[in-house]
Amino acid sequence: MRRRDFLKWQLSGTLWLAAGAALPGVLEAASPHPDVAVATGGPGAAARTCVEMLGGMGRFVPRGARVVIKPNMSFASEASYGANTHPEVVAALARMCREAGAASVLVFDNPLAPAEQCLERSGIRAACKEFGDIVQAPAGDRFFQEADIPQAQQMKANAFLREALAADVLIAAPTAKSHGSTGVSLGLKGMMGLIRNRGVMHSRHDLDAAIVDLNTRLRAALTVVDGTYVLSTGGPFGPGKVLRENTVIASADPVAADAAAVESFEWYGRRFEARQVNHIRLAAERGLGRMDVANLDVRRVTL
Amino acid sequence: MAAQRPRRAVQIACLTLFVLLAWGGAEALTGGPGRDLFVRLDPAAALAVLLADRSLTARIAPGLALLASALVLGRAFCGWACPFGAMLDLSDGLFRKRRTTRTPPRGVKYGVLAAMLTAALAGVNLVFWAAPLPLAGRFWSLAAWPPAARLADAALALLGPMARRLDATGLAFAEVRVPDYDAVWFIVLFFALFLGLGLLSPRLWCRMLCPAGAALGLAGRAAPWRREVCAMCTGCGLCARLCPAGAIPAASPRATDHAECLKCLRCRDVCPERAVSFPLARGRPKAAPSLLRRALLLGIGAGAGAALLGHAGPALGRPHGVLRPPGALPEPDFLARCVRCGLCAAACPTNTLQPAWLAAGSLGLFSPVVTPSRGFCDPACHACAPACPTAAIRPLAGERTFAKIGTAEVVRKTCLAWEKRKKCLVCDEVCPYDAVNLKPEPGNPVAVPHVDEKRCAGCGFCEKHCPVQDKAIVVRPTDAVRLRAGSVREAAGARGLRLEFKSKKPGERPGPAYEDTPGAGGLPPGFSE
Repeated sequence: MRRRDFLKWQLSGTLWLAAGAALPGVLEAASPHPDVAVATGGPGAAARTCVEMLGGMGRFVPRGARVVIKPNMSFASEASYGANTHPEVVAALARMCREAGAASVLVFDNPLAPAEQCLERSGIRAACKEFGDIVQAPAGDRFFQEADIPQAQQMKANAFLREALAADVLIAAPTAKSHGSTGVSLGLKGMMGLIRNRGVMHSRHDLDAAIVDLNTRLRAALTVVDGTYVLSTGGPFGPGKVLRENTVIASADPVAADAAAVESFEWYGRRFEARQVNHIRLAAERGLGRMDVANLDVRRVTL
Repeated sequence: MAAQRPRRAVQIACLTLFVLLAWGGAEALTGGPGRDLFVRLDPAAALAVLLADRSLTARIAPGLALLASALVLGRAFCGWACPFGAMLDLSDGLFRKRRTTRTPPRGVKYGVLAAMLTAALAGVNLVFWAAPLPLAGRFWSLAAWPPAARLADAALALLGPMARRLDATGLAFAEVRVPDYDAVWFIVLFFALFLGLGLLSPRLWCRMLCPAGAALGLAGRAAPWRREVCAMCTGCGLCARLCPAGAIPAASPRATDHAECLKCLRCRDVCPERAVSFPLARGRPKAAPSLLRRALLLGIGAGAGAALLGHAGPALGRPHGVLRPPGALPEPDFLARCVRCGLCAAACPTNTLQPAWLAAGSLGLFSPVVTPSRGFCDPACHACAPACPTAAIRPLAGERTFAKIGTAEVVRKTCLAWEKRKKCLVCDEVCPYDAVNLKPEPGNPVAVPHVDEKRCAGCGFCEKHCPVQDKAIVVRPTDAVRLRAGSVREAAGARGLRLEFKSKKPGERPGPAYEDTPGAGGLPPGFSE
């Protein structure tokens, strides 16, 4: 970290302390960790640095915890295509979870393309080989469980991956990409890979509201957005313009992580504010997290 | 019973091999094809394909070779190796007590063979009704595999929690895909009927109906490996009573109908005088009593009639035809070759291949149909072609992705975007040919899907994933590229098709085909002011 960044961070922290005494978020703001960590560098190292800036994986993963990591591996393409999470980011997260003493670490997605090809060509299965057969894309009924979404406005229930419901810790590890329906597809949108009936979110409900509903049930304790290759246009599947950003963004706040990712990269050749993405705005409005990136403690490092 | 135990063992081994091959054992073990190896031995199917398609391919050579082997061994295949015969022996065992021993009219099978070959000559392949190996293939792959797979998956489900505790994640999440096939009840009924015939007499199917048995019997009438009875015979008639093929006349147990004899060697094993032997004899045997002429004539007549009906009445099917698997020959050639063994459907990983009921017309019964609402036809997959015992589905080597099987059509009245004006881009999202485009529509707040017919290969990703119940995008067999020979890639190019499958293989860089900021002053999709 550069000195200037450190001073900025200190300054913003002091300001928060001074101004925030009456705000509900004060404890969060006063914590020694930034709200959002941004690291530029190789995917694996950047992911590790981000998590360490946030206090290390031990802050999120207690010893003996069962962890589910949700990357994007829904397409049979390599990371540089921009549609899937970089395998090194997923492997770094799995390794940190193991180091923190997780009892079990599983990596799940519910792919659109044939599952075998996705696990293979995304490179994620190979990258996680050392941890065992942890990368899975289960499809059978017995792996899913109907569950209610008590805080839903629209989608009151769905079939969830049993393991995702049973997990102690859920980590969202999306790639940063555009999306033809929802503007971007990041951590919040990515939770759709842990349920079976995605179709109803498109057909029966308002997609943006249903994404927020889903995130009231599946709450990521940590979101790590992989911006190594950003699919800036043509998402969620590509082909599209891929920006080589070499950036990883992480936060304990799923809305803040997505919001910071929206504002960190160019989409369709221009800059957007997080509020311009419907589902992120709705998520913030419904109290899932904060999207006012300018007011957040965002710490950046370059490796 | 010297030969009976080894014979039983060979039969069980052949049946097991047949079933394991039909269930994909060869693929699982070697990664190569081989599902069809046993089915290709059927001589009736080989002959019918030879005549109906007027072509000789390496694929049907094993059936013809087996037929040639009958010149020496007679119907030994029927008695020792045929998996259908083994099944009949097993089920006949259950019926032993209740049986009325009647001698079936064995000439009928020659009529059946004649009918099939006559129809085949007239270009109509009806052999799927009776060729034993395709019949058994259809039963084991389409009717027996789904419950077997369900059982296997249930066992995995039982093991799962324990495997999960032991950190055997691979086992905990292992799944056996349980496919689901149409028209299965009819296949089961068909089979139950054939097995049930055993109530009347043992091996009734083989003696009375089997066209493959008829072909082998005709070829093996003078086979040198044949039953001989020496002078020690007392004429007790035990062999005649126990012969499962009825090949020994009760009145004169020294005689043999060599075209009926299955070479099971039972007569030799039971003879109290050891008077029966099976040497390699020289010269022609005494001519068996001929039941042939009338049966053949009747068969030829029936076959010609059936062919006539078949040619006249194919209108039973869907008027616009059905979706065939990629590489399927042009429809008439396809039907001439396809023996309906069900192996392509069993090999299909997405369960999109289904046996037709009447959708493909009366001549297309049980023929494979691509059913995108059940599964897409993956352009990166051509598992059906190597599973086909008759090359009715051509292997296409590197050109698979150019084998257009149909064209998707948007059904506007059920489409979310067109009719309900809700944003939905699933068909566009999943299309691997980039053939679905969302375009603005005057008066509609959301973009609506259009299919570019020149780019669409009919793979059915869109239909499969379309979120509405009554699919709003369906693939029809329009403009399918089906060739008997030659390059499908060139044929597609010649028709102006631009089929570009995005294989998304590792190492492939994203193409230049992206749109930058769309619309002057407009926002990109999904963003708001």
